[in-house]
This record gives sequence, C-alpha cells and structure tokens, in this order.
Amino acid sequence: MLTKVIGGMEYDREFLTGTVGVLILSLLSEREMYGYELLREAERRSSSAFQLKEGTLYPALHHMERSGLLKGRWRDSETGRSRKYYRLTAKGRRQARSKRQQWLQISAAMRSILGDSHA
Amino acid sequence: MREDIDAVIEPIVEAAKIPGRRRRDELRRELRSHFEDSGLTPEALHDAVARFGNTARIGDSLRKVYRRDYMLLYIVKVGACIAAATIAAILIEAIAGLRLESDADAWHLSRDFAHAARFGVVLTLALVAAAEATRAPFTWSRALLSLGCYAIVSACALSVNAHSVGAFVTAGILATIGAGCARAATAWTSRALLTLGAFTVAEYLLHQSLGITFGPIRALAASAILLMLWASTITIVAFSDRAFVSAFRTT
Repeated sequence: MLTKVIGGMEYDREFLTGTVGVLILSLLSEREMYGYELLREAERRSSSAFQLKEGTLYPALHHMERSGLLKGRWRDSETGRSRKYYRLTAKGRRQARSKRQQWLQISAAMRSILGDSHA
Repeated sequence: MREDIDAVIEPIVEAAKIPGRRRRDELRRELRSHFEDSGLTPEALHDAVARFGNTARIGDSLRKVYRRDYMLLYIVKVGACIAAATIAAILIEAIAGLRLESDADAWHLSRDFAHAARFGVVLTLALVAAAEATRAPFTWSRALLSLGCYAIVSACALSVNAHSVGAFVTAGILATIGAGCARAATAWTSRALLTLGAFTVAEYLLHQSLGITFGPIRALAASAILLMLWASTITIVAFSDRAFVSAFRTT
C-alpha cells in the first residue's frame, strides 16, 4: 500500500486524497495568497504535519482556477516582487463552506467511532 | 542561476501542452517567482528544485488541467481542415468539369459536376479520417474515433439518401489506398505516381464490378482528378498540423 511520511508519521496516500483542495480553499477563505505563501502557511499551521509539494500545489491551483473556484491576479508585493495571488470566487467560497462542513461532520463521526482515546 | 531555474520550468511548460503563448508565459512567470521566493542562493535553489518533485509528472498533471482546451483546439483544427479541403475539392471538381460550348462560345459546368463534387466532398472526409487514423504516433483510440466519426457521417448521409452508400464505400477504399501509398513512398513524385496507379486500378475494378462501362483511359482521367484532390487534402492536413503544433511550441 502506498504511504507518505508526513511529520514523521506514515499516512495512507488514499487517506490524503482530496485534502489538498480543502486545504487550499480553507487557507484562501481568509485572504488572498500566492503559491509559495500557501505552502509555507499550510506547513506553519499544521506544525509541519502537512508539507504540500509544489508539484501537487500548482496543478491543483490551476485546476481550481479553471473550475471557477479561484481567481488569480498578478500583484506587486511591498518588496516590489510580482507574484500571482489567488483569491476565492463566490463559487469557491460556497465550495469552501461546504467542504469545511463535510470535514467537520466526518471528523466528528470518526471521533465518535474511534473513541476519544484514539482521537 | 536563471539557467538552473529554466532547466526545471521549461520541461514542465512543454509537457503541460497549454494552448496560447500568454498562458504559457504566465505559468513560467509564476513558477519563476516561486523559485525566487524559495531563495536565490545555490543551496536554497537546490532544495527548492528537490522539493519540486518530478517535472514530467507535474507537467502531466497540468496537461490534464488544460486537456479540455487542447481537445477543443484539436476539434477546431480538424473542422477547419475539413472545411478548407472541401472547398478545395469543389474548386478542383469545378475546374475539371468546365466545358466550352462550341456553338455559344461560353463556358459551362458539365452535367456530371454535381455528382463529382458530392463524391469529392465524401472523398475529402474519408482522406481526413484516414490521415487522423494513421497519424504518428499511432493510437487505437484516435484511429477508432476517426473511423467512428466517418461511420457516423456515412450513416447520417445514408438516412438522407440511401444511394450514397456507394460513394462512402468507394471513398473509404480510395482513402485507404491513398494512406497506404503515402506510407509506401517518401518522395513526392513516386508517392503521386504510385497513388495515381493505385487509384486507376481501383476505379477501373470498382466500375467493372458494378457492371458500369468505364475503360482504362477514363479510369486514368478520373484518377488524375482524384489525385489532385488527394494532394490538396493532404497538403491542407499537413498545413493545419503545422499550425496546431506551433500553437503549443514553447520556444
């Protein structure tokens, strides 16, 4: 079975499928960000448990932009460096809310099945 | 330093097969800004490249994102190719069907023009289908799709006019011969002569089998017109292929 080591722990790849989209939508629901910033933010928030790969992030961002969930625009930062910032569209915001709700329900259900000692 | 970054970015952009120079440049710019954010020291760049993962796989993931655009452009290419080849076929048949009326001293189209033009259009469709089916690198899915489209058009035509079955079958046979001759010879002259000979034999035998009086000279004359039609169609197919490839050229 395929596994992936994240933060010193082995995770089933199948288990992680679908988390990238939720992660991106959740982070962008707070503010617009560029690719590198998203990677660092996911790593920081999860205490390095989630280390998004660039090779996963950029195709995902482009796919979500093509699907109308995100809108990208080029903007100069304070340092004068030009970056492509992504923000959620109205459709993306709805998707983010829906995904967040699904995850909360699934994780609550899993906690109740696994029991608090395993949560 | 820039060369090292480009060595990672360019294979990704090329493999992504994104239609449109602007969007490809935007992807380049985005990935370049990512590496710049990672740090521009040799160590930082080395780490960033290592983290980036397999460039072929990333390019493939991006290609899947833009596959719909690719397919759409491909359909437009085939459609434009059929339209141009059809116009060329009608023009060729019109020129071949021009007759000088001796008593009125005026040009007019022969009575067979409508029939010949209709067959010319069907042959054009068959030739484009054969070109797509045998395109290198060969794939069964594309071959079956091309032949399936030709079969659907044939079925639609048959539902309108039941007598058109002969034209579609004959065009299919001639297109198969044309595709075979194109593979058998590389030089234009030998390819054209081989195709002309094969068309003449096929035309003669097809008419004989149907009990229609059609001598070898007439078969040769008819095949010469079909050869022009074949040449114009494969030239248009080659031109549209070049235009399509240039739409994805990254350099």
